[in-house]
Amino acid sequence: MKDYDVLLHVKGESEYTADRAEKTEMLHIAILASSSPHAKISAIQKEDAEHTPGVAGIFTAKDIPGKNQIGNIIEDEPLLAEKEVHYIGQPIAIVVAETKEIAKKAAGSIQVIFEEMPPVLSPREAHSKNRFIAPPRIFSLGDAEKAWADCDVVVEGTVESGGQEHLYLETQNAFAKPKEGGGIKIHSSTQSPTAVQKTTAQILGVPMHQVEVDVLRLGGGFGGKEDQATPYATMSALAAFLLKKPVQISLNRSEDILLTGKRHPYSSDFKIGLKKDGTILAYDVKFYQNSGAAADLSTAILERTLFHTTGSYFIPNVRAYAAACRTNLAPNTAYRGFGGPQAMFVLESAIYRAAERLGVDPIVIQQKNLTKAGDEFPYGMKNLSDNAIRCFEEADQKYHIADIKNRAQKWNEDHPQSKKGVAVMPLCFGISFTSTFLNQASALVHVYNDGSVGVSTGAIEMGQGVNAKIREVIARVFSINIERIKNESTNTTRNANTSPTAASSGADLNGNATKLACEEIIKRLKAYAASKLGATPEQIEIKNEKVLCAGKETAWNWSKLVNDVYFERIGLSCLAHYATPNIFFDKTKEKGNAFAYHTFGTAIAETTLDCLRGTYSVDSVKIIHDAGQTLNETIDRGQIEGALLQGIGWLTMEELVYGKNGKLLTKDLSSYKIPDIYSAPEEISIDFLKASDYATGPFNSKAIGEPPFMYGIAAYFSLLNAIKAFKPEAKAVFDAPLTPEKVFLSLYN
Amino acid sequence: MISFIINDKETSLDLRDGKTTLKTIRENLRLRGSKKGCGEGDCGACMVLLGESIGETTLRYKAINSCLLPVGEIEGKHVVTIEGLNQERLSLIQEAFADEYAAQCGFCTPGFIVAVTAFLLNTPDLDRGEAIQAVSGNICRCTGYASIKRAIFSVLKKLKASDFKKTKPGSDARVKLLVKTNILPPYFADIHERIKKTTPKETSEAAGKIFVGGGTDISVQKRETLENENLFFLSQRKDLREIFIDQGKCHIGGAVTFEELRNSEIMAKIFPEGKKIFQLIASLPVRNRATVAGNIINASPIGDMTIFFLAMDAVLSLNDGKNKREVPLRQFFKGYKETDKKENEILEWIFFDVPGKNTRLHFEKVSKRKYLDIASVNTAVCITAKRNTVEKIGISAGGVGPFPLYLSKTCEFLAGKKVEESVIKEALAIADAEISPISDVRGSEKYKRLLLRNLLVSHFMTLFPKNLKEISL
Repeated sequence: MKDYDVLLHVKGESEYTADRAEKTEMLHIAILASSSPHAKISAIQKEDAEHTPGVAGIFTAKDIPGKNQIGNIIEDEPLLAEKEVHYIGQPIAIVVAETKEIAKKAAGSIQVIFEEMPPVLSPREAHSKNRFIAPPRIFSLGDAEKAWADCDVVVEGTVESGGQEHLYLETQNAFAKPKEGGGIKIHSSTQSPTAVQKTTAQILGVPMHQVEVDVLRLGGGFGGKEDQATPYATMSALAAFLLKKPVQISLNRSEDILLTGKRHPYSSDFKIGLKKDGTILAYDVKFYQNSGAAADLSTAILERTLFHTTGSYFIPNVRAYAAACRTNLAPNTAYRGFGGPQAMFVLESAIYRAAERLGVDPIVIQQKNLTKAGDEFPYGMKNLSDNAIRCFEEADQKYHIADIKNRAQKWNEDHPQSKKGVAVMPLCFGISFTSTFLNQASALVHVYNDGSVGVSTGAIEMGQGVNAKIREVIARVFSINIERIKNESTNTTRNANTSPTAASSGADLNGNATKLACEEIIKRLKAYAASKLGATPEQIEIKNEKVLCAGKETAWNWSKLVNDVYFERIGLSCLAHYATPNIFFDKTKEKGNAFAYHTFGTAIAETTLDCLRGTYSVDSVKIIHDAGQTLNETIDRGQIEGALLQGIGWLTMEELVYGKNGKLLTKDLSSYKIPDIYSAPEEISIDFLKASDYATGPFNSKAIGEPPFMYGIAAYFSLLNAIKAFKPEAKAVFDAPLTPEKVFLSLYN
Repeated sequence: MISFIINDKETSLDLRDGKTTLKTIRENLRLRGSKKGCGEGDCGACMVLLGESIGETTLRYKAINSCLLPVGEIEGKHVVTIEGLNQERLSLIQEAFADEYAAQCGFCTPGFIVAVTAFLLNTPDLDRGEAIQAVSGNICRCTGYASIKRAIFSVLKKLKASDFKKTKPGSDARVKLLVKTNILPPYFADIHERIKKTTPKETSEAAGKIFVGGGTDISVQKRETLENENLFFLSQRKDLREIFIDQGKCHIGGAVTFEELRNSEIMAKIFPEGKKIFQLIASLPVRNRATVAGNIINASPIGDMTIFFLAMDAVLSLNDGKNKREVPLRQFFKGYKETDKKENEILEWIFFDVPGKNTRLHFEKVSKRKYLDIASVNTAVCITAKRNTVEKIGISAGGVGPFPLYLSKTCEFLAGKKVEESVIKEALAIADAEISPISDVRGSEKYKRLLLRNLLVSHFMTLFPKNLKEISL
């Protein structure tokens, strides 16, 4: 059966924020952004710009009626710069005009006099200067210092992983309209309507109830619109509020790439110790996160890095140090995986180096150390299941890893200029916001008296299929046709205090809240039916739109029952609230049950390297994935395929190049390359782990958005193996992305 | 006034020629299905079909990025957006995309649907590889393309290749076939007659106008100002849209697009591998607009077509309206983005000697992403050899100097030499001294030097596989 959202997409009828805006005449915003990475602002000369015909207003920090602050976790970021700028692209002023072109031209005529200060661009330099976003943190288990003595092999190394531009196809945009009584309504392409509402209220100096935020759908988010949609929405609201006119803001692609933060680049040091048989005894790691110029979500992301220090392995002695280092780049932000991929890439690099030293395939070490039920994670939580091992074994049974490797070896013997490499990536990813309070959601379900259903939740549809999953939940609880159900936009007047749609948790939290609301309504329907039939509510069942009593059909079907219930003056709406049970985390001890559950999987990747040109292709990725009891297998498959290719992109071609001053040079799609159809693996095979347990998503489903991103790591190490097949003495580089240039230079340097 | 047919409707709008068609569609026509993803032809979210009448019996549709299409170019043509493909029921393509969930956020989806529709309008035989090539200009950030491939292949499976072989692209019969198979709405059947009724206005090549070839570069470079310029579209010069051979020379008109060159039967004889290798250049919707002449005039140090024609020793024929003159391409570039062309000259023809049977051609390009990317280094070679001895050779190299380079010293050295490892190695050293790459976003100096070396080796390994099986580098 065809999905409602997809049906709109294929006809081009789905509306995105900008599509909803252009029906009214709007003023448009251009941002005057800092051209300096670090400077004092001596003067802003905007007189000429103000007199440009068509300009409605130019606003700087001085014009903000409330508090000039957008920091969500730590209040360290102004909406518009005041005395200093801290990165190239930092907004200093907004110019509002009849057209974007006029606004841009006027913005270009504003003179900002800077008193330059030296920028810090690398996290290690920032670390050495104690430029921290927050005090560094340490997670530990056992005693790593003591354990080194028991190890047969100890290896050390440094790992770099680059940033990543989100490149949602729909750029950041919003529009705002004044409402009666000094209120404002904002349409925003945001993953966090509540963050937009709260920040706007703060900037305008009005209570939150004066700010309404509405979101229909996003043209992609990937974390890039979790915290960083807020400033643009807020700018449109500020201008609309001050000018009393509707105002739109829409970044073009280069502006979006230049102004917004990315996935955090990390520089890390590792030391790993093993027994001869490959058992990992101890692991010491230091993560230096390049946080950028302001906190944004960096501390939460760093925390998730720490949570995923040991990946899908049990290591008895661990010490992990992590520092969020303040640099003069745009504040880096959430991106699918949220710090997890960076941690896992370091550990896989450490395992690769250890395997080289031990003279074994890394797969031997990977398999030997997989976490099993009862094993403790460095944050004190116990692993509940053996699914890491089950996924690995199922992958091996189905695909015979040894055979794949043998075939690659045979190919390599026969082809002097073409080499294949094979690598495996086991996955374990914790599900829940690590800030416990965010693990809550509300759902408002209306059953209309014709039997159709409308649902409003805090979940934002951005392509991940959360709307379809919520419809699925309702259809299952009510046992009605899914066509009866419609998702409404996410609106702060219907769902208050929403958590961002992030951390893969959208369907879990909002789906569970929806389920509670539906169950309450079902209870009312059953009570009514039972009272009319002289039966007990337990005897009433609604099945495939029919109303049964003690297993026998009644005169009611769904819509008739609903209609009768309405005339009986019984409420057909319910607002339910869900909070994930049994999770907590004690930051003073860095221990706790941080996650509702973990999701697991194993990927086997095979790549082919053209050794004359240094170019490569990922031939196949074979995956066994634990999605619990999937709510919608097609959607979950699509999430795995999409996340996988984004992961491959992060580790291979997606390279951010900065100039000496911290100016981003790869600021458009012609220089920042993301995977196209030819970059996708020729073959992707996906199987879901059967009889998966311990899932707390609706109907025992598991979250899917982020975890498969990390399968991309397999592609990186398969490429290292291909390089090694051509040049055995090549030193393995742990420096993502592994671009064709880096591959080429490791073949010929 | 600009008159055209938008979907099923004749329209006239008072617009400046340089406004983008995308803006026109979204702002003036208020059609929201075409999306702006990048504004520079690198994502395909704004893709439309552009139908152009070519003679009495042919209406040719191409997939075009509307963000790079100045609206002046749609005069007298049929513009089809996603809305123009919608009917009561889903089209076969839409149905396949829906069945396979080949849309996640949906923002890129209309562009993909348009691209696949264009493929079915133009394919001679439903070739799977060409079907994928048809969406080479469409970027999707969500799906990882797997479901999109499944959708495309399921469309192909439902159609009969024999039907497509029987109906010529651009013919009424092809349109009828696509209406019958539920790919196009019925109104397409009489569009050609309606197009013929529109009377396109004549434009002149008056002095002071900016000459626009395909507009794929100028629309990016002059994004903010193109709307205010006076433009002359070279596509108006129908006489320059030909490829022909005359007296042993192959002539390529100044309005010939990359894709026309790629599909030309004449080029297929001269360079049979070209059809595949030229896939590496830009993407299909960009190749549908970008002209060979524009690539040369642009003078990018890394222009792919320029590199190819440098190796061929092509000659340029320039005309300022009064005087014609000829300049060898190898003498055309004067510095970074500087050429011998005078402002009011049009590059009318590019011509070169048709290679004889002892002549072999090869083109190499390496970029960060294999397709739809700008090269880090590219190079072409044209070798005339007898019994493995080089008689005449042309080697070009891009990305390793301020403009596209002809490696004259390397070529001089190789003339008269036998193709063997020691000779090639000596040639590599000479080539290395002829180039001056710089480090930039396309790669470091060192990378570009070593990469060119390897690509030069690849020329000889590809063209003389028996002489040069392996070479130690």
